[in-house]
Amino acid sequence: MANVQLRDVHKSFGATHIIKGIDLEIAHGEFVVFVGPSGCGKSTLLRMIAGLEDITSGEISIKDRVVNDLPPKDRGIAMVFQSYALFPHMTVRQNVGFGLKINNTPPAELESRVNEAARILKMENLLDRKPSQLSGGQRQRVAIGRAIVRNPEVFLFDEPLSNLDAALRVNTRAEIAKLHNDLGATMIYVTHDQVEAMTLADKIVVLEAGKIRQVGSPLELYHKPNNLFVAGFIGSPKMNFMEVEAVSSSASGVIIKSADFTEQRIPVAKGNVKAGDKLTLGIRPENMRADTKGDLKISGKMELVEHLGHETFVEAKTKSGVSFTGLIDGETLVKLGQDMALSFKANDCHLFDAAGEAVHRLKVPEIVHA
Amino acid sequence: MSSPSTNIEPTGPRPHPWLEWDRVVVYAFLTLTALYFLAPLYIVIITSFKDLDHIRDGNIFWPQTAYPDGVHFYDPWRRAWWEVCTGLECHGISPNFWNSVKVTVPSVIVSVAVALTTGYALSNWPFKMSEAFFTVLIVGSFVPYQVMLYPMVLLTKNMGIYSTLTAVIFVHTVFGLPFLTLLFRNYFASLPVELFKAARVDGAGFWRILIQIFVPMSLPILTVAVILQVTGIWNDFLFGVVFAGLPNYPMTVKLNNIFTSSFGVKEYNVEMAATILTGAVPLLIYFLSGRYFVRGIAAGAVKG
Amino acid sequence: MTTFDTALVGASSQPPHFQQFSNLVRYGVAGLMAVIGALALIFDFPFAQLGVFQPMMYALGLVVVCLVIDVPFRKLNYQLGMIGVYLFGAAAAWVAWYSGGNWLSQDAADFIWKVTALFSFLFTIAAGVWNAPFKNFAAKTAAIPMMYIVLFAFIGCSLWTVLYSTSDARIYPLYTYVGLKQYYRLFGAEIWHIAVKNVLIYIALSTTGAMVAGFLLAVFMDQKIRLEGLFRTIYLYPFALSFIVTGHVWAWIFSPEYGLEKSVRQLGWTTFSFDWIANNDMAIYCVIIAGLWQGTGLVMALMLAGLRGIDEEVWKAARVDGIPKWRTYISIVIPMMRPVLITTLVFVAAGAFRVYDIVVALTDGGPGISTTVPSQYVYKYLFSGNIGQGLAAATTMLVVSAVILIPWVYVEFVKGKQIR
Repeated sequence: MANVQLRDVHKSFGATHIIKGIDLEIAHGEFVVFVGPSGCGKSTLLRMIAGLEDITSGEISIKDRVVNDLPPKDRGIAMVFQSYALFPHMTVRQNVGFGLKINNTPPAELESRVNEAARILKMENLLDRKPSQLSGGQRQRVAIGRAIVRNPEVFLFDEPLSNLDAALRVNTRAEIAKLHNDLGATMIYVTHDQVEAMTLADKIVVLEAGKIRQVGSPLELYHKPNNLFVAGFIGSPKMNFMEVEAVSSSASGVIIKSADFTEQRIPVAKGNVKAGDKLTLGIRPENMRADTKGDLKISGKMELVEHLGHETFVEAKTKSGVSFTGLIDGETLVKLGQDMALSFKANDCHLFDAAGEAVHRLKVPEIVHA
Repeated sequence: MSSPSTNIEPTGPRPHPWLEWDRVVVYAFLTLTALYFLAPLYIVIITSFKDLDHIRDGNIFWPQTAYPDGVHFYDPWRRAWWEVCTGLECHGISPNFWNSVKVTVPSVIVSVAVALTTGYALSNWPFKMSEAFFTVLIVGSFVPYQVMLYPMVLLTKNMGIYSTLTAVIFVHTVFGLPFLTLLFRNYFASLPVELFKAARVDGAGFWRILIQIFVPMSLPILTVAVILQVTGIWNDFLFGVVFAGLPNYPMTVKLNNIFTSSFGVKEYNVEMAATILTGAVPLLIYFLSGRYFVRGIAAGAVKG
Repeated sequence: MTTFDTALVGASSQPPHFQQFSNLVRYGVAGLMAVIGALALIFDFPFAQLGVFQPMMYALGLVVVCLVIDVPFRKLNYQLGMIGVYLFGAAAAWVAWYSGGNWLSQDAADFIWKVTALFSFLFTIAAGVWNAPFKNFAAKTAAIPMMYIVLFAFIGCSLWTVLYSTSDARIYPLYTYVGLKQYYRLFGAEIWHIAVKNVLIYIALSTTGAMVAGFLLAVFMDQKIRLEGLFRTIYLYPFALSFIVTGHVWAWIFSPEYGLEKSVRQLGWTTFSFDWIANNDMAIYCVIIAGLWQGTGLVMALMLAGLRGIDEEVWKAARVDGIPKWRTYISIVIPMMRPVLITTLVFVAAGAFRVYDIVVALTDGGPGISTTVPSQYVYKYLFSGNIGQGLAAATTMLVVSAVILIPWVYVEFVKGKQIR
């Protein structure tokens, strides 16, 4: 079972502390995505799993074996890099077969495994070309082929789609998903693009400044963000945050008010919220509607209107100077500068305490298994 | 209203009247300086084809066109190559040509190989204190050779190689190391680091990455290094005279001895022929490899 | 699971304090051995004239190399590396001790310590190679030649030179301390004063000359001219020549009897005079002319590379603003090229500081001693039976270049944290 475990992993470059204690369990066959803003340490963490960076302290094990002191080749991993990292003087065939050749694989077996990888990736016709004769997408495919051919327990991807254009990115993303499905291997994937994270992952690990902020399935992170950082990071357009004050709290929820809202009960677990606490209310733009049928109403002057056809994106500012955005139905015609009220349901609201930690919602949409 | 055929006004960018004048100055300056740079070569070449009488009476600017009976225009060259004496030994400069070859070939191979490995180790496999070593190496390359000359003599004596070709090869490797290491280190640092990482994940070790990945990718810089070392070692005088020992003197040392040797009549034409012969190999390399030569020195450093 | 890990991780699973203690002991013993060996060799070595410093350097070098390649942290190679150092220290001391009592013949003692040194070297390398799976030992092993060269050739030889400049060593490098006597002599010698004056003139004129002419040539070359390759080839070819060749070529041209003076007079200008090479006061300028002929092309090439590195947009912007071309060069291009200018200046000046071959070929220090330069002074004394004096001059050169180089190295390499 190719599981991966990280126990209190730290990394420092001199005095700079990059990774500050990571504990993580990755089960066999899982597709895990590390996501976070640039500089959060996600690539460093991946390179540490690969064995390309030393571990300052802590323990990494692959397949229940501590690999801290093992060189990359003995860890049963393969890695795909952002810039493809193809050796320019070798043909595709030599590039793909390089790792096998080093490990003294018999020529016949090498040949058949390279051909098998080429078949899986549908690149048989490219085998005798040099990397300079390939397009970006083809190069990325060769890079993946180089990983597949080694038959690794764990695949590591370091932002593999960043250098591709948008259309190719969608295609290759689908191919990677299919590959995971076919091979059933454990995959760890680093990206700063949350769409890639949401579409590919079984489990997303959100990192910020060298620490894990939340681990969970894509929908879990979307519906139950543990903190402001995750709430703001997952979901596009970004969740609206508004300053509110707690009026009272009970088992059925917390009653809040602000300059822009009348008092309203939000169904969240009471936790240790007390009357008078400063809280942050979070509401996703896609939960806004263009009428006043919701539980909470907010009105403001339209500062940006983008009609996208099937939906309309608006950005507005209330009288008290709070900006908010909404993703509303495409039929409502909105004019710039117009005063308009949007509303949303209390059930869709998220509340965060002064420390930025979530006050858990009582009613989370059920995830329906189709 | 005007159609192209009836339009007699000039079109396109307006010609600048000062432009032509400007170009004349540029080309005049460049041509004159080029003549200045070429003049010594011209003078030395025509002198090497003159006989001694013509040198005494003639003008250094004009070539000799007619030769007395029994005198050939190539006589000075023949004498320089096979016959010219230093002291009592009269074999010309040809044995020293071969000495220079024997010094240059192994010195270039050894020094480039050591520097290649060192530069690669420093750029891709840094270890504790590697930067400190490298800094000392760079500083060391600016210190005058005279400072280290005598201890190096003792060192080679103690190693039992003083006054042999091995000593010269050793010394060239030592003093060629800083610059070449810098050259290779910077080149390897400019290669995408992911190539190195990908090779490591594939299971390639230190030597395999060097030989199968980096060397094939660094042919341009290898060419630069080899050219610089060949010309530099061929042109060296100090290490040749100090470390090689009399029978192994390279061409430059022999050439200087031909000039300072005070037996008999001074044969200026033969001396000039020997001078050209000594300069011929680096010049040939320079003319054949102009682009790489320029790239090499522009790559950031020069040997004293 | 855990036992397996321990086997893999090796020494790092030992209690840290135990490891530190045993390292301390072992290093202490090894270091002591090396120091004893070195001291014995310095004061008792009977064949000291063959190079007292070398065995000492081997010992020091081994200790440092072992330290650097992490010997104490891995079991097998740690033992091997230490054995190397022990062996060396013990053998050096032993040989020195007994041969000091004339117990051994010089050849035998020489042989013994050479074999020991070789073995200790091999042990160090083996220590690296056999532990390759643990850490990057192949890389460290590959760097060993570089470490030895840095330690012996650059640091060791320089230190030896400084040390022996305080001795009165004459034909043999024997150490008898005489304090600064050699330096008093050096600074009192007229020929040294001439040499210093000459090298200062040479540095000043050849550096400014090459920089100005080289920059000017580069600017002209940068005017999008035809035949650029041809012109560059012509300007740069002298740089491919040996200084010895350049020196003799120009000696021929400068020669009053056969060269330029005679030929111009022959052409009809009978009062023309150009006999600098035979003139005590002017001969050094002949060296400068020849040096410039050889070196200007190089400066041109470096400057041209610098000019080409300047963004084309800068030129467009300057033209749109109506700034004249010459003004753009002076006010915009030169400041932008500052790093290239400084680097070139350092290289040219460092080359000028150690000028040697070209003087040997062109004037051989003459007429008389009028064109002697410091490098020649050093060489002359080292190999004509006054080693101490030559080393004092060499040390002076070392100190001067260090004083000038260290600020530059600091700015260029340390502050920037990047070696170009």
